[in-house]
Amino acid sequence: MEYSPQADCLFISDGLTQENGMFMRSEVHLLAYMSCLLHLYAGGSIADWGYTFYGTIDGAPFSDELELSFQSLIESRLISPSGEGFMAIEGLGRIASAYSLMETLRVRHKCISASIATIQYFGSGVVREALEQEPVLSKARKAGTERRLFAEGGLDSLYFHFQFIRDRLGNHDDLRFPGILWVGSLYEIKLLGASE
Amino acid sequence: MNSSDFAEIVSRATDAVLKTDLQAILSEGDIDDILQIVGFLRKKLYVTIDPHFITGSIFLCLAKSGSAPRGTLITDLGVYAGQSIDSMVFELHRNGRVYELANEEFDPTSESVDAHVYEYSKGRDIFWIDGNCHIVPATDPNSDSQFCGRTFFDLSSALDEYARLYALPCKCPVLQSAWHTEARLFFKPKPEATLRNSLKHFLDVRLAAGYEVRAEQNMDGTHPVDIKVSKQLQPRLMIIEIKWLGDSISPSGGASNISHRDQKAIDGAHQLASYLDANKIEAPNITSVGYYVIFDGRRKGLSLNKMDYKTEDLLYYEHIEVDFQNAEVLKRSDFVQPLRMFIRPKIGVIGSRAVAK
Repeated sequence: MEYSPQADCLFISDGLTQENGMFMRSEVHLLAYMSCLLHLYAGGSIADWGYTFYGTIDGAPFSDELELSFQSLIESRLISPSGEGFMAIEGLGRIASAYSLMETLRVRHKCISASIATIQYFGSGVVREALEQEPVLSKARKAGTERRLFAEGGLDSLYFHFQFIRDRLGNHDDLRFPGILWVGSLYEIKLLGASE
Repeated sequence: MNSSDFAEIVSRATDAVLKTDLQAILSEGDIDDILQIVGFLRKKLYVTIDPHFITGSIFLCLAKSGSAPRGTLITDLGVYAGQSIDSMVFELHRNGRVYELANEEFDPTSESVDAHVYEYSKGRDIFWIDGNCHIVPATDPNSDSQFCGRTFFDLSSALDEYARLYALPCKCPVLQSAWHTEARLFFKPKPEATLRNSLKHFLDVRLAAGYEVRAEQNMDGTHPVDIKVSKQLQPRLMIIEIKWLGDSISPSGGASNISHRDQKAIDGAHQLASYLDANKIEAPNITSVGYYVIFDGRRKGLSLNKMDYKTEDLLYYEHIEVDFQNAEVLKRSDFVQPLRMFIRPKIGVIGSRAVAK
């Protein structure tokens, strides 16, 4: 699979601007991370995704490679600061659409579209709350220190959850379907935890 | 949590979600159409029309094929802003235009054969697909519709909306549970945690994903219950201090033994200032900003066994601000002006049921 954090930044910035009018830098990292997990759901590997993530002290996923690409989009003025966050320029949608048609980026675009669809359906806050329950991130969050994600546990639980969903849904080429149900399921875990 | 506990909770949570109509909505409907409808609701319709003011049912249909519009083009949804709506039918087209259809004979069962039909009725979101009715599972009990939650990118705007749309009419079920009776005259004993939970839940689901919202526990009864909000990847912390004004019943359900007025609000301001000072020492690299939220349930002439109140007395404090006596702490650059959130009583039920437990 083509390694392109810059294309990921384009797709995510465009999707979030269309959805909420603006976005925060950390949302780009969160959505890229979620897209990487959906890539695993679809049978891909972490190595395929091309860049890695670590969990920050406050439990947010972060990628240095993605951040560099994000900075380059700011420098090239495709993304501009807006209030408390950023927004994509008007023409970015056309660039993102053109990129999405490239065969080498097709798989990445599919994963990112599925992540954006969860924001479309649930809204940004519910997705953030749900992903706090995701096992890899949750494990890193509990450590309270910066640590590389996927390197220190949580993957078995993640794959268990994915398999559980796949067993019940069957295979779907459109990742938006399992993506929305997975986020709904993570959010339900949060509610169950709060009620127990 | 060990792996078998995790497996158990995953299976319970996933099965719970799959038991709802969400799977049917996504699999039986066309996911592009469902997301187009949801996007229109979030970004257009419910930005203009507050579902709280929909007294009957509204429908929104999106034709499965590109058939010609049947209704009247709506050029500006703003004409419906602030209006109470009994019943309306909207027709959404793939080009984003929206039309108003005559609603006298609109039947969602038959319409949903050739279109995806959304309905909002009595606090429920429903999709009609191929003649079948599917209720959207609720993730946000605070909202009338699951698709009306605007995402906020700054805390002050979020707090303003909570004060206006949720605290003032006491719309949030959690906030309602802070009161002794549904009349909302006396708080229950120690309502702090309930008030905090209501606000925290709102911020959880309505602040953008780049924020993190944490509730701090009241550890020893002397420190305040508050909420901390941080912006991920930024060294900035927003501390929300919560206080309440009004009267609470005693733990035994007897006459009010706690009555909070202006002095309590002033004390809270000093408490927040001391927190900000402590944070400067403990975390000098983090910029802390204080937000002070005061839930105001003050009523005039309150008495536990009284049943007859004048409406003007119950609403007396709605527009009466707290007298902070020019407290110096409010002039700090790291202290946002206090936000008083008045909670209205439920006038219609005041009478014998108002004070009965």
